[in-house]
Amino acid sequence: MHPVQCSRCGTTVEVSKASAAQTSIQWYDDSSSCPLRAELAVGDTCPSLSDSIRDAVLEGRIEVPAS
Amino acid sequence: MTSEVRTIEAGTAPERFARGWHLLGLARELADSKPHGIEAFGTKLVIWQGADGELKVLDAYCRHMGGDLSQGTVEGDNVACPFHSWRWGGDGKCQQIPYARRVPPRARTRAWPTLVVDGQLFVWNDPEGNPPPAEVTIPAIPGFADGEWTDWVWDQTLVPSSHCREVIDNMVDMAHFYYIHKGLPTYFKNVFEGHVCTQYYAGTTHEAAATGLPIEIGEYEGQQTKSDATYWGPSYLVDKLWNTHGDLTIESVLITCHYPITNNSFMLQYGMVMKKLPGMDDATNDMIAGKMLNMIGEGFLEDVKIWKNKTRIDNPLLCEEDGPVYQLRRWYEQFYVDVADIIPEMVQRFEFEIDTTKAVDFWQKELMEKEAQKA
Repeated sequence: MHPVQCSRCGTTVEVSKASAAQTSIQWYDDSSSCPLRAELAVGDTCPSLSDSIRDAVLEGRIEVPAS
Repeated sequence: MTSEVRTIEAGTAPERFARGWHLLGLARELADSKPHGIEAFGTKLVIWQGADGELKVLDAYCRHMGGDLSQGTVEGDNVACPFHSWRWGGDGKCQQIPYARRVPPRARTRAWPTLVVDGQLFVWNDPEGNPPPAEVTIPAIPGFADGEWTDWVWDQTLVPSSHCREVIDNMVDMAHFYYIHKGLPTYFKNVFEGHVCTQYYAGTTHEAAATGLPIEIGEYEGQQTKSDATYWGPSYLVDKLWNTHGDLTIESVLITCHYPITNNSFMLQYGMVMKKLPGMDDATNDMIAGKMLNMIGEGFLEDVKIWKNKTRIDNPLLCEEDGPVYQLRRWYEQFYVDVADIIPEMVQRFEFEIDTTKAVDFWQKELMEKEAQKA
């Protein structure tokens, strides 16, 4: 698991990827710390957090095994 | 080398029953002038509608001499035991013993807190005996009260020799939708948080995939079948479904729920309401909903066949295309421990999206080959 901080609200989660399309996200803080959470459906990933994870992958901070 | 062989740890089912709201049945089936009996939570419950119109639920066995209240009669707001006519109120207190000068003090049986939402009757189970917290209530279906949806079509099936964890496991089981339910999932994601657990599913059918049509992998929107399914607590799954056939999209809400009978058997119930299709009368809409539920029911019977024959397994061996079974079970565990013993790992938000690329590619080829053999 690799820590990723959301660029919008600063919440830190842990992320791992088994492939480009697979993602696991473990939250530790209460997710209400995410300012977008209240407007999103329970199953939606926060779009800001998704962007931060994508950036972390592009910058090589999250290991993505080649498929 | 025996040391290299994986051993199944079957474990043992928990003795207690999950804390949470459990749907017992539709109010319309229970709201008449008779008491109804349901075997659940290791005992029997009696359900009746009092003269005040409210549905009430008690332990069915009379605390006097053990008579079965569900075989008795409704007298005003109370239920009367068939054995000696002791009258019990919905609050669990004995209200009257017709042949006695006074009711003994502390003549009280177990009353089950009830909730009716959109015509569904729920009871609250809590081994610690606490009342239901407001934040774990059951959500209503938007527009149901305004007649936008058909009435319920409903069915149930007894699962005689499994713990209800088996049905929960399906929440993360991407591949069984292909092998058991004739689906072809192309998008699959789970989120657990607090007392809710969600599965996002999108996909196509075997029939459509067999034609060789190109399949968009990893897209939730725009698929033939789209499903957004959430467990509100340990036993009540609300599945918002969209099925597209050409220009027509049918929107429905499928409920899959259960109540435990013993810790090794449960009643699986499933029901559906469909958003009424414009230009069709209520009878036609009801008929379409009924047909859809029948098809879904056939799928559940396939699940039951698996459960009847499988072993309990506490240490499943998983591949990367399987969903997060262990995290799901960690979430489910919160309902089987005292509230004070819930640890953060059981309720912290966890999100998991499966890579379906390899699976979709393999399954579509398999279906196309089968189709070619038929020709």
